Amino acid sequence: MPGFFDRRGLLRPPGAADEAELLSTCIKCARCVEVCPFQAIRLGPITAWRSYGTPFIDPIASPCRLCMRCPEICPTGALIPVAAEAAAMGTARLDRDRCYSYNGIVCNQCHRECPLREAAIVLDELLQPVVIEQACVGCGVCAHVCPSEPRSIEIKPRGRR
Amino acid sequence: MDEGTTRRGFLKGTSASLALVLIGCECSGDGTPQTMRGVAIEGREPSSWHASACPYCGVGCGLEVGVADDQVVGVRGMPEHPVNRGRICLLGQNLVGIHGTEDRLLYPSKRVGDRLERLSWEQASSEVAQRLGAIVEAHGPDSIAMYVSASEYIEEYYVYNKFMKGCLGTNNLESSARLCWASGVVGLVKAFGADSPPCAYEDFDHADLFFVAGYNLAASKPVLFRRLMESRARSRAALIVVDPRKTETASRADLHLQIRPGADVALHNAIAHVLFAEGLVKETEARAITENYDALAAHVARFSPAEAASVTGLSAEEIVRAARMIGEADAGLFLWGQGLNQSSIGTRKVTTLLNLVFLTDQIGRPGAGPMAITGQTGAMGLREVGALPHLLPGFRKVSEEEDRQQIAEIWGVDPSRLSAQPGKPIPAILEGIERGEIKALWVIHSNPAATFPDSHWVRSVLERTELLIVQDAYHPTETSRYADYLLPGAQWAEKGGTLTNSERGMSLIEQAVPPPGEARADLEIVMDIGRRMGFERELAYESGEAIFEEYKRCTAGRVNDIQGLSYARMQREPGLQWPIPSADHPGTPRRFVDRRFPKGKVRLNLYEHQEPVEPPDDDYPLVLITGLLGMQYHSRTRTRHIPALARAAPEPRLTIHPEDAARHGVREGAYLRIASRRGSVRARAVLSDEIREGAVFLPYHFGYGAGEDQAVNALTIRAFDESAKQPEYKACAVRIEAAEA
Repeated sequence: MPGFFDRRGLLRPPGAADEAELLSTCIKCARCVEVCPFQAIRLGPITAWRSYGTPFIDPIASPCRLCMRCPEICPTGALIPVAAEAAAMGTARLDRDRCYSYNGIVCNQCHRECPLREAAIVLDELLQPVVIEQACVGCGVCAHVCPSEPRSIEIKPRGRR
Repeated sequence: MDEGTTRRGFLKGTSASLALVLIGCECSGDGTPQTMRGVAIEGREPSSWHASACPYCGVGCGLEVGVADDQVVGVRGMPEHPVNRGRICLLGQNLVGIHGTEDRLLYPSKRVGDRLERLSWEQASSEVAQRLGAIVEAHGPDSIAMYVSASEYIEEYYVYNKFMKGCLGTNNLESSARLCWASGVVGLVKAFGADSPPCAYEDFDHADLFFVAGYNLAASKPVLFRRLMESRARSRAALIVVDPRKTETASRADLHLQIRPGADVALHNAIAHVLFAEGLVKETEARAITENYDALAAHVARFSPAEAASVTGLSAEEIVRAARMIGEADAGLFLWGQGLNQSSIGTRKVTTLLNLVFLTDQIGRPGAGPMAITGQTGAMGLREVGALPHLLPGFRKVSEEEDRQQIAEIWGVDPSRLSAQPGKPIPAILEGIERGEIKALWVIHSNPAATFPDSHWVRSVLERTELLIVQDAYHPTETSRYADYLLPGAQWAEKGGTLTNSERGMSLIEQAVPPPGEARADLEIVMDIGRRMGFERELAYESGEAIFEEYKRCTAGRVNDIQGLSYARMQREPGLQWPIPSADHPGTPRRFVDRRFPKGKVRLNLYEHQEPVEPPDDDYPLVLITGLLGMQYHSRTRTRHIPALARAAPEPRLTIHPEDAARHGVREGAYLRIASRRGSVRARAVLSDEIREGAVFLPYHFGYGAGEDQAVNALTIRAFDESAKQPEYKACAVRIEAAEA
């Protein structure tokens, strides 16, 4: 759960305005939560401080599938309709020391399930996954399906460093 | 009563949420320095490791099973196994979670009205024996049928075969390999004259071309595909992939032919046409090995690429390019899968592909030839042992008198006991039940109510089966719900035996843990019931090894001669490839090196394209392709329990092209109702241009156990290959009936 001292930032829905703009524009109406067919969007709890009541995604629980219903329904422009490739939520980061495919267990679920397969995640010539950061939008499907515990691929939200 | 026989006691030893940790094992792989890791349950250090092989696909990866307190707590690839050299895939790695599930079948029971009544083994075995005996007495032995998994051991198939054919005297012994490799095998037999996959996995290192047709290797055979790609990285071999979907396999290809579903015969004929037209046929060699070279040359003269373009949905340029790549290859390997086999013209597709192999003389040398890599571990072994309606051990035939006599002698039965009439494949078994000809069906570790096409019909047939015996490790499954008798069978690691993989390599699986509860090894169950039916002498084997030694005698002088193999030798040298005719014979990596074929020469097969039995029309305008997902297996009796696997596939998802989606007003993630003339399924839409417009894809793993509207095979059609009787899972007509926003 996000907290006051969480330095990574929240993973915002696709098409989110930048943090300052979003925090001043979001009216916490929860329409984005209701419209998401995957129940991927949650609202920040009180411990999220200024982000209380604003939408975020926990990809381990339920990732975004880039269907783009949420920016369409947002009444205030906190979420702005964009193409899936421009969703700009964050970036996937792969830990090769933990990733099964780099360690003798042939997996590649992240590549298989990536909505932008062959653009955001590719396989090298030994069938090991590689994230192409320029193309990755940070939807979180890879982090959700990764079978290792803890996950070998995680999303770094676009927010704070 | 000790803890093992109570469910609580049994589950107590297994953590409810398996936290798996990586465990290290420094292995050299195949020259690539890498740390090969396995997995183990956190906090449960294995006290012993046992040699094994993976029970899932037919590649045959060697595994080591870690055991503590009589439970499987760890799994890792076997470092020195020739097939995988320490590597495993996601399914193999998650074998740790399959044993201690809530739905393990732990004791025999019998259906009484709506309830299941627990029985002792004594009661269950004697009742089943008595009821089967009464049915044979009243209606003859052909009123009984047995349908077994294609993942069983050689010793088990041998016993099932002897029980049905040598004791009861019926040939109605069938396996789920019918649904998977029947067309492929019949194709090999029609072309080569006998069933004998000629190549070895090491051929990957010598090929400069891989032709992969109707086969998503990346998802179905990850370890083998990884091995292929490593060879390719070294050799820069070319890869052609033929598939209506841009699968992960296709995305690795130098040339992806995104073919219109079902048009493979037209493609193969067009390629053959180009090979002849551009002088790329190895004429001297091809004439030397084939019977009917001129007939084929004349036949394909009219199948030009330009003419094939519309039926295949490919451009003439692509077809010509593929033909040139094939014709110019020094050594080409041809792999195919269900895209060819699971078709009403599966045998035609396979034999016309094999024509290309023969025309370019890709046989009998390193890196060249066709590879038949099966989806289940026992699919090769059951053919060798003859556990099919028309076969006897050692690739003999029930219809040949001399074959029956030879086997009767080894079995110690009167030759007149063996029937000359081939038994029924599974489509005919189910129809036979419907007509009342077959009264009893004994299903062993298989789930036809989920996996056979037209699920509603299958369920109605199973419901009316007079005596349905289901022997399985799990209950409920879609099939076990209809059982009159439930018999708990052991599964992988709980029983030992021999497997043959898809390069004819044989390995011995050790029993690593005892079966849980009152579950017993499957061949013990069948032998016990058989003895109670009066066959004490015939089914009195002391051990699996005794069965293996008797089976060996059946192979003397045959194509799969294994006189030189023994349990001891398999333990020392896992993966030796038959034939192994003597103890000092090193095994046979490659067949037909001497270019002498079972019938002298090989046969080219002349066929034309034919549309699927149910093409799309105005009422049902979309072609449904069913296929597998990489992280689930068959009807999910095992894999649905593994959170790491299930989270990527919680429900059926329909892959649909964005143009088709737009036409139907379907958005990403919307729930749809998809219907065929036989049933309907509720699935979530995934929009992707990986699939051809006009076609949709559903994963076949989901049966009605996941929900009444989740059974993908409720949509598929009972249409079968003309010779092989394999179902046409890859093409039927569907429509989208409703879409939720």
